[in-house]
This record gives sequence, structure tokens and C-alpha cells, in this order.
Amino acid sequence: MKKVTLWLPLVAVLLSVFVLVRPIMPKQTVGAYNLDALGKLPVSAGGRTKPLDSVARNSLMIISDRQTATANNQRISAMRWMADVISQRPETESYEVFRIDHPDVRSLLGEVPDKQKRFSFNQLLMHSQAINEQLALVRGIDPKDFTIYQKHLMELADHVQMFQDIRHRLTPYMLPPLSPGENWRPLAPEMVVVEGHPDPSVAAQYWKKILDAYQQQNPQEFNQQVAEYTTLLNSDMPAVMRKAKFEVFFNNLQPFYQGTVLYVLAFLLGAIALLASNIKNGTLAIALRRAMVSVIVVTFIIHTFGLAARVYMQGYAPVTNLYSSAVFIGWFCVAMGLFMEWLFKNGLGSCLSAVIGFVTLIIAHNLADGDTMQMMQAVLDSNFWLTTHVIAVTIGYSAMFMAGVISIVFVALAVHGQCVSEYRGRVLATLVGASLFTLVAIALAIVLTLFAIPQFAIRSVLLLTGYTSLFYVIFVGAVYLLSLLPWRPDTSEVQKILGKMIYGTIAFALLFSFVGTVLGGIWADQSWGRFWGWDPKENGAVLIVLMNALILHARWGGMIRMRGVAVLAVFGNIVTAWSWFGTNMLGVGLHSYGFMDKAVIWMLIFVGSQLAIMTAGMLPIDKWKSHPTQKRRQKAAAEAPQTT
Amino acid sequence: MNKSIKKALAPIASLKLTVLLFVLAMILIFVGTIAQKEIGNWQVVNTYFRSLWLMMPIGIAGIKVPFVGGYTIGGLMVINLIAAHIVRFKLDEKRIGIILTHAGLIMLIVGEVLTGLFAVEWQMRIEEGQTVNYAVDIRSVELAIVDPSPEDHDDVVVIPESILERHNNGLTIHDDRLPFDVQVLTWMSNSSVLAPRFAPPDGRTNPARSGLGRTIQVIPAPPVSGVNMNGLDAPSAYIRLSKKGQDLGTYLVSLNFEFIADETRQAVTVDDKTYLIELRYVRDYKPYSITLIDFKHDKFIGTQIPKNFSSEVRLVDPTTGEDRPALIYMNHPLRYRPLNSRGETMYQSSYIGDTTTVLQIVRNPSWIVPYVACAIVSIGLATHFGLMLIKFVGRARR
Amino acid sequence: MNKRTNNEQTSKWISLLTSALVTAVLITLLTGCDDDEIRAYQSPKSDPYSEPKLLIGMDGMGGMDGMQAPASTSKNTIGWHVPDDWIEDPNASSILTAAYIVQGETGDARITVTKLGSGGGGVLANINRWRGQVGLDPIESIDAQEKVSVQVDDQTCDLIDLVKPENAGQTMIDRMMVVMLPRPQDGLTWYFKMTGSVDALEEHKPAFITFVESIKFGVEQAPTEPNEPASAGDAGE
Repeated sequence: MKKVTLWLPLVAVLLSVFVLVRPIMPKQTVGAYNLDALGKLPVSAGGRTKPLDSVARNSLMIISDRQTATANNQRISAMRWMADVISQRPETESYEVFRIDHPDVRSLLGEVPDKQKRFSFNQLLMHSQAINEQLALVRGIDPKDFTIYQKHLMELADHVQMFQDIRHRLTPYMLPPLSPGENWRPLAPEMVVVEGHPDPSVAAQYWKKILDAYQQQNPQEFNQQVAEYTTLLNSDMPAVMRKAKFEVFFNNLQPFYQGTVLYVLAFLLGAIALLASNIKNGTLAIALRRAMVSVIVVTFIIHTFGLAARVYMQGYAPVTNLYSSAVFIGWFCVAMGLFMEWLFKNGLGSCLSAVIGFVTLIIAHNLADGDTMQMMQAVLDSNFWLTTHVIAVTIGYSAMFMAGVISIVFVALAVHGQCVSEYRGRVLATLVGASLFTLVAIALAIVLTLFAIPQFAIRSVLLLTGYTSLFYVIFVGAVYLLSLLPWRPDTSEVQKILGKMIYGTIAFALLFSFVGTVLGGIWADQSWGRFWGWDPKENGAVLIVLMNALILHARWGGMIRMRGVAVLAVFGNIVTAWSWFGTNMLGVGLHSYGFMDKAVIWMLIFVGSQLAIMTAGMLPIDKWKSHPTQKRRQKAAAEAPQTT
Repeated sequence: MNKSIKKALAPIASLKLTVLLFVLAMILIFVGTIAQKEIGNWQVVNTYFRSLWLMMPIGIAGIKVPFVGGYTIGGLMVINLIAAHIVRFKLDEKRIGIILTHAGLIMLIVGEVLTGLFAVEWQMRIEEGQTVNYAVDIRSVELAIVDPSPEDHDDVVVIPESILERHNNGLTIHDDRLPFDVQVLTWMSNSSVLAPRFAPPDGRTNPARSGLGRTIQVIPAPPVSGVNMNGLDAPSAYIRLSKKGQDLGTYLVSLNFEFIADETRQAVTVDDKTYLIELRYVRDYKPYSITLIDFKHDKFIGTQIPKNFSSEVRLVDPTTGEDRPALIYMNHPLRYRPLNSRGETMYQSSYIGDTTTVLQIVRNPSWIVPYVACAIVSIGLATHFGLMLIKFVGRARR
Repeated sequence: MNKRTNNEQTSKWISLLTSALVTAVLITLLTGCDDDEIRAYQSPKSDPYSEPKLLIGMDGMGGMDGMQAPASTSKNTIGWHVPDDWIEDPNASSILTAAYIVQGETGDARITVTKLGSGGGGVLANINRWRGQVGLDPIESIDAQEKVSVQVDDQTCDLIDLVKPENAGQTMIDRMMVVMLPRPQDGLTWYFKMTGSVDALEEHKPAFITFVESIKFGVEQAPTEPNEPASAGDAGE
């Protein structure tokens, strides 16, 4: 029986390795054309040299919001789409790739099924008059002042332009610098002059042969030319080819996507372990916990590999934009969770790792728009102070979120304690109250919309309270439902450990956010002689420092205890989200900042959810059954003689 | 004695006050960040952070409430900190980290105050081939009246922005040093140029009767917000000049001229003497001059993303006899200390078009303070939390 | 014992003094220094004064944007006569130097002036891009493109007239006329483009050619009214 603690983790590890290796296992060639080899050819886009495969994926990601295209009701790979487009095969015009989300933009295409989100170039062409008329109206308006509709319309125009540029071989730049003094250049100008040109560039000749062969449906010739061109580049620019090849491997591996899957797997194992801990014989629980930890370790390794690979491909520090900061925050939180697991060995740290790893990778996925490895502006170029600053600040963010997430668990346990006490009725009452309030808020929102009251402040306050009560219902409701299970552990010991974790993490966050902020100051001083300029991003960083300092001082001054620390740490999530995302939203123009902006809505939803958890955490403490004072009181009450 | 001091100090040493100050600081910084959507960063810094108190908008119907400014919060923090250390003074290993941290923090706050008071930031905008011997303060403008008649120098009288603004709506500025009286008809703290074919929105007639204003009209514009990092306000004014009741003409003076005219000064003739008037950024003449030999500016291939930019300059200072070439680029400023003056540092800040460089010239005597302060705080925090962590891990592993 | 108390007291007094000092400094700082007065001084001799000239037809003018504002160099100046019935397009985007709309019996045409760095993808690539926009097949060499010569400021350039072929379905643009004017000495290429329906362009073609031929580089003085040259209108907004 004991052996289960050995083989279960082993099976879990093997399973995760299988999940990881599956996408990069050699496949039988799907078509006659060796598109894999074509995808490994280096091109230059956005100022970075990358394989054509990356350009194909990123372009489709931008145009279509996914990495595959639909051709005649059939899914085709990004590289197949790319090959069809650059060889100017006529059928590409009927591929349904242009994603249109806005219903009013969609309605420009006449009557289309509600379900259809992606449209072909032909469909757009058929309605180009209507589209062009609309575009003419938008032209000249400052992008900052775009309405949502105008923004979506312009996006569509940009996507069409992008498609056209690719089709006309203007982007990406496909001709590499093969002789000294040359630079990357587009294929289009040289493509047509190859014939009869006294000295056409070698690369242009190869591209012409490759594309002609593809167009004329001659796979043998195509494969041969691709292979020859590859050989040429291998000998002329081996370093570039190595990198391009590696990037294709990275694209196929999709380490962050696999990571997401594995973090879910780990979390499921943890959840089962939690349930299994209720079974008398604890061996199974231990085995499951070990399995979870091993899966997380494997995932952490692949997560680390992904980060390192990006550093190698990009040549910059791991954090260069919002996308990479999300990946980094996730990575660091997982590391912290594993450290806590090592400290307490109770499965908590791993569970947190799994949840945060999953959530941050999902956030990163949603932040990705095209190439996530853009070149950096001169002012932001690689520099010791900037690198250390960004890393330290991001570690500060990570620690802050970690403390916040632990606090959420803390509050959940506390509410659970309340739900299993004689006060469950009151919890139910708050639930009913919050549900009613949510309904009122929705009704008010409808009224406001009907009477077109534009006051941003009023509407956001209403939305915020609405979200808060809604999340209160969700959060407390979920805990309440859990409390109906027969499983009723004594959580006071766990809460104590959690309290320690929160406190330690906040101290850690204070240190790193302060150091990070300071390093930013040093960088600014070195760059333009101003240590501190009170600009939005700097202010965001210093808010985190102040939040941490506030929590610690309030704790030291006895103003709050464990519960207060937890509630404030949940507020810390809001502060961190603000300086991570919110300050970026400030740059958005007033009009689109208005109401429908996705990012603002998500921000409000997040803030609402955190406020709800804070409210749940602030339910009067003496009603907490799990709380030590309450226990003592109960005991005393039981011993005391009845007075009435 | 001892006890009574402690008793008296107890309220201002309390941690409750500390926490309250943190809350106030967070509110101030948050609102000060939001405010940068509407007004410039520099104005926000002056109203919110370098002030004793302010009227803070609450975001609803333009209502404003009084609130403590950055100097008040910073000052109270310093006092609270010092009082706390007096009341709870104890020097032992456990507290060494905290003491270091707090000492560093006091330095940091004082350093920021000193920077606010004594640091100056100027800009030099130089076109290739041009030699410039003054720096400008892009945050404030002045109306300069220049008498170019002396052989070896110009006689200059300048009226600062604040005076012009105060005389808005028709008040007259009279001063013995001025060759004529200046009546400020309209003052605009930001303005935009009206295209020649467009009539002014309110149907008014062009107030300017002389100079460039006859062909160029401007209208008021909202201030450039702090979120827009590169934007700058372009003030303008319609002014009527007169001497002893004799009308010398109504002129438009504007910072917009820099972009639409090759000569930004306008000539005004009084009693056969010609003066040049110009609304310009406040100038600071330097004993040295900078010549821009070459400005380089690369972009990543196929993109508009700047890759690097650098200015090859020549610095000439007759007072010290220095005459040397220098290359100024990102993170490689030029440091120079003119005779009888404090050192100045010239940073590559920005550029205009392909051939004009923008150098940022900074003189900050207290620049070292934040470095030292931050080092002390970081060491303090690391010590304190490091000890804590070691203890914590030790206990948890047991 | 006594000594220790002394020490403690001394340090307390020092702290108190420091805090008092800080407060005092703060108060002085906040109340003092506001240098708003008229000043008179001598400055080094500035450049000799010359009557101001407008830099006409300058591009950009997008406010005083530190990074993007154009250099006020006179060498890039360009000027032109605008036909009387052309209206300045108030909604022109900021990358356009100038934009006009002209109404006619057969429809409207839009005229735009753009200035691009020497990059832009090459002449042939641009021609093929435009051909794509009106539904024409790409060509393999510039020579394959039909064109007419026009004289601009002592420089001969080509006017390209691209018309949508009969069999093409819906296209983005029906017809366009483009004059490309390379200025290697400035590292720039100017594009003068008219777009609109097939008939409208036929109607406005003479005016367009007159307009293009009126272009002058390095002009110092604006042509006199009423044919006032374009000056972008969105500065500072």
C-alpha cells in the first residue's frame, strides 16, 4: 500500500512529460510540401529576425485571433496559410480569416449569420463600398478619440492592409543581408526583376523558384528549392539559422500553453488530495500531494525553460512588456509556492503555485497580440539598471499577488468556519442581501443606460458596487456550499500557518518593490538626470511600497491582526493590479476610456471581486467559530452554569 | 523630564499617525496620477507633491475638497519618525535594520525636497551646424523685448509668464525698463494655429493688425496632459503695444511660430529705433556654447521604433579655454563644470525631425542624496527581513 | 547609569532639533522663492534679424510633440497653388501634409500630399500596391507601367493613372492618379495622389496637373492671396 506514494507521483511525472513532448514529436508529413522547412527560413519583421513560422502564427493571431485558418471548412495550419498567401494562390481570398467582433462592423457585410465571426477577403471586397464609406468618415479623427466602433473598423482596415502587404511580399522582409553592407529588404521589388536582371540577388532567385513551384503545385521542385536555399543560408548565416530553428521548436513546444494544462492537472491532483485527506488512511492523500508537487516541479522547469528561451531569442531581459511580465509574475509566484511547500510540506504552497501559474499564463495568453518579442525603444534598450529595476519590481508585484492570493484562501477558510458555526443563518442572510443588492444595481444600471446618463464616476461606482455584491454572492456562496459537505476540518492551525505566510510574503514584497522602485530611479537619473519624476508608472510602484509599509506598520501598532493583514493584503491585489495595468490604461483617450473598453471593464471586475472578498473577510470576528477566542468562549460557555 | 517628553511626544510618535499618513499619501499619489490625464506632469508635481495643501477634485461634478499636499505629508512623516525613535529609542541588533531604513527614508524625503528646490532642468535644442549658447526652460515662457542696436551685445528685457497671465484681459504692463507699454489683450496658456482658410469659431475678427499675426491666427487649446509624455503647451498672447498713448500696433506672439515661420521674432519700431519682440521659453545664457556637428538616429529595420540616437557636439568655453568634441547618447551624458559655477550634466533627451537634437541639461546639487538614502534603506530592509526570514525558516523547519 | 541617560537625552535633543530644522526648512521653502518680476540683462549678440517668412506647406504641425514635430528647416519647404474650388479637408490625418476635396459634376475627388522617407518599399513595390488597390495585376518592371511626363519645379516626373479594369469586382479604389517626386537631396519622396471615381478623375485631371506643376521647392514667400498655399490646420490639437 505504501508504494502508492512512489508510483503515483511517478505516473504523474510521466504523464506530464508526455503532455510536453507530444507536440514536438515528429509527425508524418501531412502534405507533399515540406512546410516545416519553409517555416524555418529566417525573415525580418518588426525589426527582429525570426522564422517565417513565427510571422505566420503572429499574423494570423492578429488577423484571426487564433493560430489556424479556415479554408473550405477545413482547418489549415498557419504555415499552410502563409505559403498560400505569399505564393499568391487565388483561393486565399476565400479563406475565412478576418475576425470581426463588433456587431455594427459586421453588419456592414450585409446579413451574416450571428455565429460567424471570421470572414474572407472576398466577402470584404463585395462590401468594400460600404466599408470604404465608413472608413472615410473615420479618417482624420485622432485615434485617441475613436469610439469602440471606429476602433474596430480601423482595426479591420489595418488587418486587410496587413494581409495585402504579406500577399504583395512587402512584409515581412524576406531577403536577408548576404553580402556586407546589405540589410534585410522586402521581396516584392526584386521578385519581378529577377528575370533579365543582370545581377539578381541569390535569395530573391531562390524565393522566386520556391514560390513559383508552390504556385504551380510542384511539391518536388518546391522541396528541393527550399532545401537548397536552407543549405545556402546554413553556410552563410549559421547563427541566424540556429536561432530561427530554435524559435520554430519553441513555437511548436508552446511551453506556456502546455504549462497552463499541467497547472490545471496539478491543481486537480491537489483538490483530490484535499478530499482524500478526509479518508482515514492518509497514504492516498500523501501520494496525491506528492504527485501534485512533482507535476508542478516539471511544469516549473518547462516554465523556466520558456522564460530562458525568450531571453535567448530576444537578447533582452525576461521582462520587456506586459505579456512577459505576466509570464514572469507567474513564474516567480510558482517559485515562491514551491519554497513554501518546502517549508511547510502541507500541499498549500503547491496548490497556490498551480492556481497562480494557471491564472497568470491565461492572462499572458490574453495579453499576447502578435509578436510578443518586440524590439525595445532606444530609451528602453538593454541597460543594467533598467534590467535589474524591471526584474525587482516584477518580483515585488509577484510577492504582492502571492500575499493577496494566500489571503483569499485565509478569508475563505474563515468564512467556512463561520458557515459551520451556529451563525450560518447570518451568512445566509448576507448572501440574500447581496443577491438583492446585485439585482438593484443591475436595475439601476439599466435605468442609467435608458436615460443615457453619461457620468463616468456614477456609472463606475454603480458597476463597482454591482460587481462587488455579485462576487460576494459567488465567493461566500461557494464557500457556503462547500460547508455543506460532510468534510469539516479544523482549520485554525492552517490559518495560523497562512497568517505567517502572508506576513512573510508582504515583508518580502516590501523589500523588492522598494529596491525595484529605487533602481528605476537610478536608471532614470542615469538616463536623463531626474531621479524621481512622479510619472504614472513611478507612482504605481511607490503605491505598492506604501501599501506594504501600511500593512506592516498597522500590524506592528496592533491596529490589525491576522485577519486585518489578510483583508489589507487582498486590497494589495487591487493596488498591484493598478500599477501593473491601470497606469497603462491612463494613456488611452477619454472617449474609448468611456465605457466599453475591455481592459477597464476587466479592471473593474477584478476590483469588485477583491472588494467582495475583503467584505467577506470583515464579517465580525467573534462570530468566527474557527477563531481561537471564539473557541475559548464556547468552551467557557459550555462550562459555565446556565443563568437564564 | 525624560518621561514627560515621552508623554508629550507620544501622540505624534504614534503608529496610528504613521498609518494615517500612509493612507493620505496613497490617496494623494493615486489622485495625482489620475490628474495627469488632464493636466501636465509638471503642474501635477507642483500642485500635488510639492505643495502644503491643495484643492483635490473628487471626480464628481467638478467638486473639489481641500487635501494635504506632498510637503505636509512628507514633513509629518519625518516628524512622526523622529518622534517615534525618541519615544521608543532602543539600539539593539533586532532594531538595527529598522533604524537604518528609517534614517534612509528621512534622507530620501529631504532629498526630494532639496531636488524640488534647487535642481534645475533645462533644454538645449540644436540643429545640425548650429551653435547655441543658452538653454531654455520648457516649462515657462517669457516675452522678450530685445534691443539689438549695441555693437557687441543685445539689451534684453523679459516679462515672465506669470506677469503676462496676471494682466490677461486688457491690463497694461508698465515698467521703466520697457521701451513701451504692453497691454495683454488675450493670454492663452496653450494654443493651436488656425488654418488660413478657416474662420475663427466664434466669428470674431483677427485682433492682430501688425506682424505675423496678420496671417496667422491662433485659438486657445486645452492643456497637454501629463500622460502624453512628449507633448508641450504652446502659449500665445495678443498684445497691444503703445508709447505715451501712441499706438504701436497689436501683435500676436506665440510659441507656435517656431513651427510655422523661419524667424520667430517680430520687429517693432519706436522713435526710429527697432526692437525685436518674441514669446519664447525662458532662457539661461551659458558661458559656454554647444555646436551640433552631427545627429545620428537609427531605427530598427522596417519599423518606426528608434534603435538609438546620438549627438556629436563641440563644446567651447572662452572663459576656461576649453574646446573639445564630445559624443552624447543614451546613458552617456556630457558633464561640464563652467567657471565659478556648479557642474552641469547634458543628457541626450529627444530629437525633432532628423537633424535637431534635444539635450536635457540638469544641475542638481543634491543628486547624490537619493543614491545614498536608497542604499541605506535597502540595506536596512534587507537586514531586517533577512534576519526575520532566517528565524522564520529555522522555526518552520524544526 | 547617569552617563547613559545623558547620552540618551543628548540624542533625543539632537533628534528634536533635527525635526525642528526640517520643519523650518520646509516652511521657508514653501513660502519663499517666486521669481516673477521683469528682468533686464545683456545677452550675447543674437543672429541678425530678417523679416519673418512662413514656412508654407510644411508637414506635421502636430502640436509641439517633442518626438514627432518637424524640424523648422527651410530647406524642405515646398509651396503650391491650390485651385480655387478645392476645399481643404478638415479631417485629414496627421501623416498627410495636405489634403483637399474637390466636388464636381461627376463626383468628388480627394487629393492628398504625403512625404515619406526614402524607404517606403521602392518604386515598383508602391506601384504594385496601388495597382492592387484598384484591382490591377502587378507588373514585373516599372517600364511596364504606362505613364505621362509632367514638369515639376524643373524636374521631370511621371504621372501614373491607374483605372479599375472592367472585369474587376469590388475594389478599394476605382481610380487613382499619382505623381511621385523623389527629392534625393532631402532623402524624401513626395507623393501627390488623387483618388475618386473613374469619371470624376477625368473631370479633375487638368486641375490636378496644374496643381502639380505649380509646386515649387525652397520657396521663401507664399504666393499671394487668394491662392493661399496650404498650411496644415491641426497644430496643438
